[in-house]
Amino acid sequence: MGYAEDACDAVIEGLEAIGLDYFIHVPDSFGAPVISHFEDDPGVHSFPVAREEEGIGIASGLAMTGKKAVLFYQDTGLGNSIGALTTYAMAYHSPLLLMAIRRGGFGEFNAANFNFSESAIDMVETMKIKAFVLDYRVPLESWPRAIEQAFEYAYMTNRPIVMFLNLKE
Amino acid sequence: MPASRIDSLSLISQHFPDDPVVLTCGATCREMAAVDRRENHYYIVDTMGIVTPVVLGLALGMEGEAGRKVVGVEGDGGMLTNLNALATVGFLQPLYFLLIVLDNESYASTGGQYTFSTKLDLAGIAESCGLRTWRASGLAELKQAMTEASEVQGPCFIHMKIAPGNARVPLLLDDPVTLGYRFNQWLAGSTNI
Repeated sequence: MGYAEDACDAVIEGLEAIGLDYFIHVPDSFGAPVISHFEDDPGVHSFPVAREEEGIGIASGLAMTGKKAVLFYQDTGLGNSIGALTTYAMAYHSPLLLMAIRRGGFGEFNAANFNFSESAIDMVETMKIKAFVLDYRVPLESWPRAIEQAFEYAYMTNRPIVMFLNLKE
Repeated sequence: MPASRIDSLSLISQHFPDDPVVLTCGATCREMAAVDRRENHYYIVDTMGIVTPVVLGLALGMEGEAGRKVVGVEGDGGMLTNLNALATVGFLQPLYFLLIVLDNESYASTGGQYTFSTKLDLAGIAESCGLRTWRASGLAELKQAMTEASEVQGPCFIHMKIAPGNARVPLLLDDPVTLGYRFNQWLAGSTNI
């Protein structure tokens, strides 16, 4: 298998270790294998949302009822949800893990969305949202445990956490 | 003359004393806190448009709580901010979801600027998204709609036309962390989740 397939498998392994109840997603071509995996998993409620901001509210509501949920969408989708992340999830100390698939950098083919993606990590950190990055600089064998730890960290520190993923070759 | 927002909120609070009630930002939060503050109220003091998704998440998480309703109170402006959220509700068909939109055809909290509801049928939009819908234009009709919706499984929507303007009430200055903590404490103590 290539790097992209291995990276998606590592993400799936990490998310499965969390013991998810809900997998909430917005389409992404690089993350499509991960979405397909959870859509086909009868033990996890998987569904898309029409727009990224919705996912913040839904995941928060689920967390209040004790359900484990993660959000999975392109980092460009942070542009549609940064308001809800800061003025709602951060303000109300709502624990949630947001997996943001990078749409900039090496391997990106879209000539428009890199304009957002290349600044996305800086933007999130400027907004005082904790971010972790998993890309070619982190060995793939470390990804599953890192994802599991990021979820635990969001809950133990009562806040949203963004984990950036580069799933490109 | 249509009912005021604050009278509508008081009626909603009395009708749902034991179910989660999620309130949209601005004057809706302030007026509810002033007229009938309760532990089962979740006051969201900003993030216009987030009420519907939060109620959806709570309703999905409470699907094992037979007979409950998770109630959202939204304005016409807030509903229009995140109109797509109704499509997600319609797609998922949560059992215990109820959204009540208090429609004064304006952004009353920010000076009374008009909204699209002056021309669009918000109940029709909700209906086309797959929600069971009621239209109310007075407190008696609102009460009847809430009674009927309480007996229905599946997502429900009540469109209530209200008068423009705001009641003169104090600001709601509680830290959101404490607002969330109080609601979560109530939720944990009153449900089997």
